[in-house]
Amino acid sequence: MGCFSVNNASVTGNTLYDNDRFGQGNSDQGNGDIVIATRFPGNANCHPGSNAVPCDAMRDVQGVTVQDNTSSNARYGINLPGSSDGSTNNVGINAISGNRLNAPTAVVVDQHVTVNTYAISPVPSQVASSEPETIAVFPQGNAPLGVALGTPCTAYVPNTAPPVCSAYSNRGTFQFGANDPGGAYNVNYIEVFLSTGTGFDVRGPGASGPFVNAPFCHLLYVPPQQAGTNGVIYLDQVTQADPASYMPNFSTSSAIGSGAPLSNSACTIYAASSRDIHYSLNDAVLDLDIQFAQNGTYYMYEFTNNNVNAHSSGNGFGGGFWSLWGYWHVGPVQ
Amino acid sequence: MNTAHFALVFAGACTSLCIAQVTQVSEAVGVISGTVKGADGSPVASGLVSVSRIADTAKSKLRRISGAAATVPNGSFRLPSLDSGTYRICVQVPGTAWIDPCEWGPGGRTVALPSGQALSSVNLVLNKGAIVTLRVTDPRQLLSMHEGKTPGAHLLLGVSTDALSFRMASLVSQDTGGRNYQLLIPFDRKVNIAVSSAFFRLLDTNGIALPKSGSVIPVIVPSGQQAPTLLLSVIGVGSP
Repeated sequence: MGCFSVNNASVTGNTLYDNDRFGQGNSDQGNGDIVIATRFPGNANCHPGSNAVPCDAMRDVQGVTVQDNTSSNARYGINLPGSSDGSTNNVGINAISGNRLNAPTAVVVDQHVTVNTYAISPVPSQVASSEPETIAVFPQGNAPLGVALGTPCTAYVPNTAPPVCSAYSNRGTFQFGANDPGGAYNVNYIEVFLSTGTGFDVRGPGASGPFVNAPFCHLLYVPPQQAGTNGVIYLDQVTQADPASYMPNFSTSSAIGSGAPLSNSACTIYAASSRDIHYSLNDAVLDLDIQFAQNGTYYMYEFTNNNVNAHSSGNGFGGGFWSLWGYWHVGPVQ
Repeated sequence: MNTAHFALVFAGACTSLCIAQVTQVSEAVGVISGTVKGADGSPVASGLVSVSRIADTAKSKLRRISGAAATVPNGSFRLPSLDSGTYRICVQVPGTAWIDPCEWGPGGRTVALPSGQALSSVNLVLNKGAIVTLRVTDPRQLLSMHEGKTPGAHLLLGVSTDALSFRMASLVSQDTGGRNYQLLIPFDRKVNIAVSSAFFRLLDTNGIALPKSGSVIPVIVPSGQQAPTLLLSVIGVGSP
C-alpha cells in the first residue's frame, strides 16, 4: 500500500499481509507493507504506467496519518524509503501511531528522507549502510526483473487497432544509477554489462549473470574529476569470450557530452548525445545513448564502487556482485 | 561471474551447513550470524559481510534475497530477516589487504538457511592478498593539468576480477613527481593489470611506449613476498 507524494491522506483500519512487493515479477526485498514516499519530480510527466500526464506538483508528502492498521509477514510494517527520481524526499507526518506492526522492524526510514520522526510511534529505525549500491532508475531505463523496458516500436503490423509492434528499436537512452550512503559524489565508477547470454537459473534467463559466452556490451563509466567537467566512458572491445579466459579490453574511451561515439561489434555508445551523471543527495544517475548492433534480449547488469573502494553487493538477481535490473529487447517481436 | 564458476558454487552449497549451528527462532524469517577472522586468527573488524541468495532448483516465493551487515570489532556479524534458501557470503574489507573470497577464487562460501531458523557460528576466514603499487611518474604534472579539465583526459588502471567486475586502482598519494596507485591482488596467480588512456602518452617500466589502444601488465606475486612496484611514465598528451 503506497502513499506517494500525497497531501492530507489517511491510511486507517487496513489489515495487510505479505504486502511488501513492488512491480511485476519483483520479489520482496523489504519494501514495507505500507510505503510512504515522494515520487515524480515536478515539471515532468507523472507516472506510473504508460499513460503519463504532465504534472508540476512540488512532490512532497504532507499531512499523512497512519493509524489502526495491522501488518504481518513483511520485513517492515511501515517503510519511508528514499526516492531516486529527483523528487524532494521531504515527508511531513501528522501521526503514525496505534498500528499493530508484526514485522522484524516496525517502522523504517531511509537516510535520504527528511521527516518529522517525533510524530512516528514506535520510533523508526534508520536504514544505513556503508557500501555503495546500484539502483533501479524509474521511470526510464531500468525496470524490475522480468519487466520489458519501454522498447519503442520501429514497425507496426498493418491494420491493427491498437497498433501492434512488429519490431523493437535497437537504440535508446538508458539510465544507470548508483547510490552511496555517504553521498552521491562518492561514487567512483559504474560498470555495466548489457549481455545476451543466459543461464539455467529458474528465476529467469538472465539471472545469475552476466554471461560472457554470448554477445555483450560492457562499459565502465568514471564520473567527472571536478565539478563542471565531463565524465569518461570506456567501452570494452571484447564482445564475446570464453568465460575461463575473459579479460576486458577498455582501450577506447570518450568524454560524455562531447566525445566521439564508441563502437564495437555489439553496440555503439553515442557519448555526445548522452547526459553526464547527475546527482541527487545519495543517488547518481547516468543517461547513455546506446545502439545495439545485433538483435536479441539484452540483460542489464550493474556494479559500482566508491571512493573508499567499497563496492556494491548486488541485488540478489545478478551473479556475484552484479545487480540485474531488467532487459531490453531488440529486433522482431517473438 | 562466468558459467563454470557458478557450477562450483552450486556443488558446494551443502557442505557449509555441516559446521554451522541451526536453531529455531520465533521470526518467520531467518538469521545468519557468525564471525570473520583472518587466516592468522585475528578478528576482521570493519568488514562488510553481504549475502546473496543463489538459484534454487525449484521456483519458490522469494523474500529478502540479499543483505549486508558490518562486522563489529570482534569480527562478528548478524544478518536478520532473510528467507530460507542457499546464500553466498562475501566479505569486503576496504582499505586492507584482506581478499574477498567472492572477488578472487571459486566464489565464496555458501550456506543453506532453513525456513525461520537462525544459522549461527558461520565462521569465515579471509586470506591476505598482495598490494601492488603502481608508480606513475609525471614530472610535467600532465595528469593534474588535464584530468578533470580536458574532456576525455583520464588514465585507467585496474584489474578484472574473477567476479567479472573491474577494480580500478586506488590513488593513494601524489607528489610533484607523480602519483602512487595501489591494487589488491591474490598471491600465486597471474593477474593482468590493465593500463589504458586515450589521452595520455605512457611509457612502461622498460621505457617502451604503450600503445594508445592500451596494454596489460602480467603480475605474479608468490606467497609471502613483497609485491613489486610497477613503473609507468606520463610523457605527453594526445587528443581524446
